[in-house]
Amino acid sequence: MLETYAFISDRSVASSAAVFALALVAYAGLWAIDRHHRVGSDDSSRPRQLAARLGASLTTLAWALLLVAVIGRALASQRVPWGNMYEFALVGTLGMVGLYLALLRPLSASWLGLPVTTVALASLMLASLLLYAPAGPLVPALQSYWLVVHVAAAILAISAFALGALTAGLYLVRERQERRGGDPERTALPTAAALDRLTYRIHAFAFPVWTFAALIAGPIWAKYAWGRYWGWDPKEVWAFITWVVYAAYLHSRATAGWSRRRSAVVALVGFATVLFDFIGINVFISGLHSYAGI
Amino acid sequence: MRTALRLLFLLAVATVPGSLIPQSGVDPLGVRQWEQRWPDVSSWLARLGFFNVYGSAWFSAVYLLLMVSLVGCLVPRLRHYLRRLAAAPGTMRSAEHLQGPWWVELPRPRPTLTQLRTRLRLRGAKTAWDGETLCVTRGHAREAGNLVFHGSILAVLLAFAWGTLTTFTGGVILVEGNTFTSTPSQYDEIVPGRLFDPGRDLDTFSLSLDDFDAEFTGRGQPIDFSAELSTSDGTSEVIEVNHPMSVEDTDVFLVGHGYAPVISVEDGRGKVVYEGPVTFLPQDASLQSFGVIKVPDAQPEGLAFDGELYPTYAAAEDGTDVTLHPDTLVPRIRFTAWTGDLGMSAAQSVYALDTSRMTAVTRSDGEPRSWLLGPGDELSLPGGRGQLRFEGVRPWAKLQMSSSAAEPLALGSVVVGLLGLLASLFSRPRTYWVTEHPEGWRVSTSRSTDPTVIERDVRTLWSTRHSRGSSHA
Repeated sequence: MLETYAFISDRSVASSAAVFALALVAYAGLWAIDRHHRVGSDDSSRPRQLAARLGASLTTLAWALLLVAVIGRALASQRVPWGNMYEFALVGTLGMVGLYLALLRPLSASWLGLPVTTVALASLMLASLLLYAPAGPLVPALQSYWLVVHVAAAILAISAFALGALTAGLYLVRERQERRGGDPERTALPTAAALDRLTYRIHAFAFPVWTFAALIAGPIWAKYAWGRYWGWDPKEVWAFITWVVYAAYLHSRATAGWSRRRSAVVALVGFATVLFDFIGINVFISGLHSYAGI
Repeated sequence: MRTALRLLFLLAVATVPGSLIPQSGVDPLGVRQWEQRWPDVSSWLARLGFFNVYGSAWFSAVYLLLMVSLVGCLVPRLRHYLRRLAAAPGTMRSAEHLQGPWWVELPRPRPTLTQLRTRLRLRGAKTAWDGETLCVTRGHAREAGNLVFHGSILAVLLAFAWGTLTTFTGGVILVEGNTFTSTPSQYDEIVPGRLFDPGRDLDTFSLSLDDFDAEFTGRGQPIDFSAELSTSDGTSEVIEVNHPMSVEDTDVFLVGHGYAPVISVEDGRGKVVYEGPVTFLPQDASLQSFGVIKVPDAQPEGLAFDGELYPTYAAAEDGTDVTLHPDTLVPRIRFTAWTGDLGMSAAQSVYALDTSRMTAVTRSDGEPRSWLLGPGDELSLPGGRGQLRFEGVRPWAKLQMSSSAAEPLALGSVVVGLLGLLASLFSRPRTYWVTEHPEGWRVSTSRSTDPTVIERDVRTLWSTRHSRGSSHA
């Protein structure tokens, strides 16, 4: 029975990736339409609406398939589905796309669909090709309900940081367009100011979650498992660096004389530290978190 | 603000090397490897504190500067904040600082401005009423939360420093069936803070490891480790990874385990010169382990053995020894033997042999001789120089002890800091003025206030179906 769940999970990941690819095509169509027509004048043109709806439906379907994959993983291994890097990647993608779908209507964020589906597709492909691990039990150090709390919060924060990195990157693109005096209406993107505000809001959500995951739940669990709250293990070091960089981002938004462009770069640097923490530390450096490896 | 920002970047950069270069506190073995592989570079790294980044002068300098900048920033802000709290909210300012006016339609019966004032004050707003205009300021939580957040960073650092000074951590390897007494000499390693005197401040208790269990899957993946410990007063408790126990003010954690073969050695005279379990150290997750047995007092000359323990032994196709599983299903030890002077006059590790003044026991062709023993087997050294008997295997558990006086303070400060952070990120400071007119209330806001907030402020207060009335500029 457990093998069946594992099989269903693996197949759902593959199907989800395929549907993300279709959603990506639909959203690419949407971008193409927006770049060739003036926004506002034909905002509700039929092809545009079709592409946006198709993209949203396919993304929702792919998200649901991914949810099935994650639940299948949980049933197959009889535990929370975030015990190794493959599972982190799946749940992180699920979180990022989930946040996107939640923001889709209130912010009419179809424009974010193309980068989100691209990242989701890439992440699922990398996870399946490089990080895949068969479903199995947890090593004793991970058998704790803090795994549920600490890792779930970390994944949620990382999903939001990923989304924030996308909007920060798009802000830089849009800001450059505006500075160069390109046709302000011939673009799929909102104004630079709106992108900047959105980037800030996403990080204002993600940063406290990260603070909780890395500086509260993590140390409490570390105390139970390893006998100390904080020991400068490589993973702890990079979680701290990530925290400092994002603190600098939020700080820079309130600092007079700091351009929004430089703030966006800081946000991107922050996400680079997240990626290094997630991938670099597990692959290149051995430490107490090594069991999370591949 | 810009200084603080630069210092934050500096802190991030200064933190990096400690994750790339092995740290003596976290990975002493890694440090030794670096020193052997790159002696020149390592001596410079050691001099510059790169093997102990988080205790180094330059790292401390960065965060102390950040602290100074933080205090320098917080003190005037706190003073300003308190002054503003004490002051009455401003009266209507000149028109260019204002936005609006907006009109808010009112339900019937019409609420009065006095009622509005009462309700807003209940929700923590500061109000001033000059008989005509009601001035409202809300959202002090932003600045307050910000101050709390930064203040708690200071508190965390103080707690961290206090903890480093006054606590201790110690580790001991305890073989199943043995007893450990918490006195400084009994610990394998003990790291006291500067203000912690092990002779005076250690809790005195003793622990016996009555039973240790390790459970693995068929493939050898660990599922469960548990150690049953009994204290001197007779109570016994099972601890597991993630489930420590407390004895007086000391926490006891299970952080590792391995095997200790029980060995007895007779020397050339037939006298038993060594008897008991020998702690072998695991090389990796397969629990293939290495250990040494030192018998300096054997006659006619000193004896030493090193052994490689294979918990589930098998011979690979090419003849090398391997282990198939971490559990002791088919335990075998491959021994080699040495004779001569063990060099015990100098301090040395119990896990390594100094063979510089010893000779290996060889076969007739001059190659080192080795013996593969199972439980109950024995080996005899050529020339009647002695015998070694492998009695069996007992597990050991590595226990870590620590006291944690400052940790609740550190944790509490982080939690308070997070609450402050939430308040500062999600509360919106706002100032507005309300006057009464026959059409409804006329509301103007300060330039920095988001007008949609006002509508929400007033709407939540008068949330009847009538009050859904729109506002219009």
